[in-house]
Amino acid sequence: MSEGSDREPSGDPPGQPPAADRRGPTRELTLAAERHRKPDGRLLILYHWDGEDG
Amino acid sequence: MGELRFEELRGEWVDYAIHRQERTFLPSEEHCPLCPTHPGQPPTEIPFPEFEIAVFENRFPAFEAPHGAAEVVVYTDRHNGSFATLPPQRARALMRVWRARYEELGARADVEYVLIFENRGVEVGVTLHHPHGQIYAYPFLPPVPAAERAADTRLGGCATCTLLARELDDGRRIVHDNERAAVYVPHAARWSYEAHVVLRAHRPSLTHCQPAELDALAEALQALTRGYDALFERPFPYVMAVHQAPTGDDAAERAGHVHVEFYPPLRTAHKLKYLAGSEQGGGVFIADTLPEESAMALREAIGRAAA
Repeated sequence: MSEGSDREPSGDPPGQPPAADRRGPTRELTLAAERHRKPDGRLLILYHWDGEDG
Repeated sequence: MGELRFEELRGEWVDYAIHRQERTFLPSEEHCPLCPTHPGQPPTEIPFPEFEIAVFENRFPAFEAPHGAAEVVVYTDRHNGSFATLPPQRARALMRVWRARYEELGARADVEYVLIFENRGVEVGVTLHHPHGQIYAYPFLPPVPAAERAADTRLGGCATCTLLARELDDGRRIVHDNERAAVYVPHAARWSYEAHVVLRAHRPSLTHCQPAELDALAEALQALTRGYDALFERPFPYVMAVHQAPTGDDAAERAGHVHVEFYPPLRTAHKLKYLAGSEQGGGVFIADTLPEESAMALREAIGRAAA
């Protein structure tokens, strides 16, 4: 069903302060993105995160 | 698949996406294309038995490469519920998904503006009840964000910052706030229960937000949407639009201030506001309620929902 699946942390987006400066009172919620291609070629991304409800 | 035509009299683009007539219309839960795929059953749009948040390219796109994009953002694999009822951690994760999609789509050469939005309720044309939103990546700057940039020029700086300061100073239309975000019915609201969720700090896009600001935005959005549902004790229909900076190459157009606008069509528990002669023919909204009175009712509803 899927091809080219890769799972990687989203990392620091451009334009943001370094991660060390972005941490609030709680640990930053970090997304992981798992990319797939549907049979008709359309992109499908499944997002995961650590912690409750993730 | 689609075709863009320019309507000269209004100076607006019109997108012809006639294939969208064929899209799935209010299916039952067992035929919901946004649910996970159950073993032995035909695949849905998400061919996995469970998922957390899923994004996929719309099967019936209003825009597609090389002239933009249209995506669906599925908030949860549970069919029932709404943005308001998501666990708070999931709502916070959704803010990060919005940011990631804004960055990836906004980086494309064929995209000038990324609009994240949600249509909730059949009253605003929803065709799937499963909790989800959408993203349109436009190949041009749409009129509404263009008008906001014109307001920046007219007010001599960030219009959203100016209006937020006015609302905070006045206070009568504030319905909810936290350390980093405020929610108010705008001074000149067009819809009876229109509300804007605005980051207190000037952030052009979600990319520029600190984690605590994304969390505060999620909290404020959920407080408002829970209050909406409490207002008339019924699922409250709305259109929600996330406004951010344009993403085109023109640096002068990159200004913006993250805020989320809600346009609910209800003017009472059972009466809808329609866009009729004055609104469509003259471009002048005729409002049925005063923003100060709507804000009072909404503030009380948010309080009830939080109790």
